[in-house]
Amino acid sequence: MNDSLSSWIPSSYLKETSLVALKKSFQNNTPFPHLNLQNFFREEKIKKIGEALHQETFFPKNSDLFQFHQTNDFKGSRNKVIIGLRTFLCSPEFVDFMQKITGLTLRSTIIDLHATLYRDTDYLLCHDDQLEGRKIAFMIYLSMLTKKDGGSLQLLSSKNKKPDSVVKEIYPCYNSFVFFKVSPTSFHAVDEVIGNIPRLAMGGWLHGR
Amino acid sequence: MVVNPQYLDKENLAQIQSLFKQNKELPSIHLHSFFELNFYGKILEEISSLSFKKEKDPLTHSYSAANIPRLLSSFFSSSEFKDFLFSVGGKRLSVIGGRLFSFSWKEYTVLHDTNVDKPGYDLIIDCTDDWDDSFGGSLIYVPGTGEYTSIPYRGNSLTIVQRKKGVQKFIKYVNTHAGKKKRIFFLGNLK
Repeated sequence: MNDSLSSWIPSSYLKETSLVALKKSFQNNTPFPHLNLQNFFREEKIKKIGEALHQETFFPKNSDLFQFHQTNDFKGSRNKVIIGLRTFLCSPEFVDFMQKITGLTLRSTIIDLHATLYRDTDYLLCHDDQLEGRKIAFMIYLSMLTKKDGGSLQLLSSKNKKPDSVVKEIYPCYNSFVFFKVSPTSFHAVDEVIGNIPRLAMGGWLHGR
Repeated sequence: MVVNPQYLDKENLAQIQSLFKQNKELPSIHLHSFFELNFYGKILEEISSLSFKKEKDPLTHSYSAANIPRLLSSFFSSSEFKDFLFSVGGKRLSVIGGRLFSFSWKEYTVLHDTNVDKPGYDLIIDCTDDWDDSFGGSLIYVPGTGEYTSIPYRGNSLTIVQRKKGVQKFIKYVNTHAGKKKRIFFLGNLK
């Protein structure tokens, strides 16, 4: 077992049999390949990440398509914990782990990583995330929201390459790692947050070769 | 006469015309209490009897729309309104098309490449009386460069906006604080 991986991720996710099962789930999940992995990072790691995010500056983002707060890309972060996470997420070991699950050819060393904060009435309308090079979109949730709080990641089915309707809702769960394959039909949205529970998450993209 | 008499006064009209042209990037005018109250009441009554149809494409819009109310349609073809438009715009303008829109919780429009406005004039008659900025639902104009301009919402108001090249518009997402309230307005084009 790889030391770098096992220091971040519980060993239950790293067994060959787990990887085979995860690959199958990823490919079979609808409306497009995705996975929602609970308790993904080791407890001491996710705790430190949560604490580190409280030191970061979130800037308001407001347009026709969205309303929320977001950090700059963590490429320029000076926070050791965040740099550590970023280095891990684009390390050859983690990228290889993701390749085994997704079956995609991914690039190590290149990653986009930021954090978002949604509060009452914040939202992100339907879009597909397509931008050159992006292969996998991922989220690391640091909050716990349920149906009454809104804030779910909504996945939409498509008809004739256009979004049709919401067929799956993933509610943010602390320390869950959610990712999906970016494609012309990976239509998704973040439902409006309702109430006082802030929705804190890290997000980004892994790139392809 | 159905228009508030202060908007038919020659001196006021001259002032309105000069205000309209003041904003070089986005010439516009927003007039409160535009109709006589009695006539505005009748418009609201007609609107409440109209059937709105839901229209949705998640990538671009979600709203309900209805055909132009009969009272507004007759008003647009009246000489009273044509003279008013001439005084404000400085040229003969007629209403060409337009519909009544209703935006409630979770409804919006977004700027999209497939939905680009050509330069022209927009006419907005706002019929939203019980609304708050915090609900969203603002009509926002986006010039090619420069600041966004949000059109103030107010029942019984008339707004004319001249869209120059590259100017687009959208309706900000209506959030949960709107409850069951609806943002209703007529939006049409002038030519």
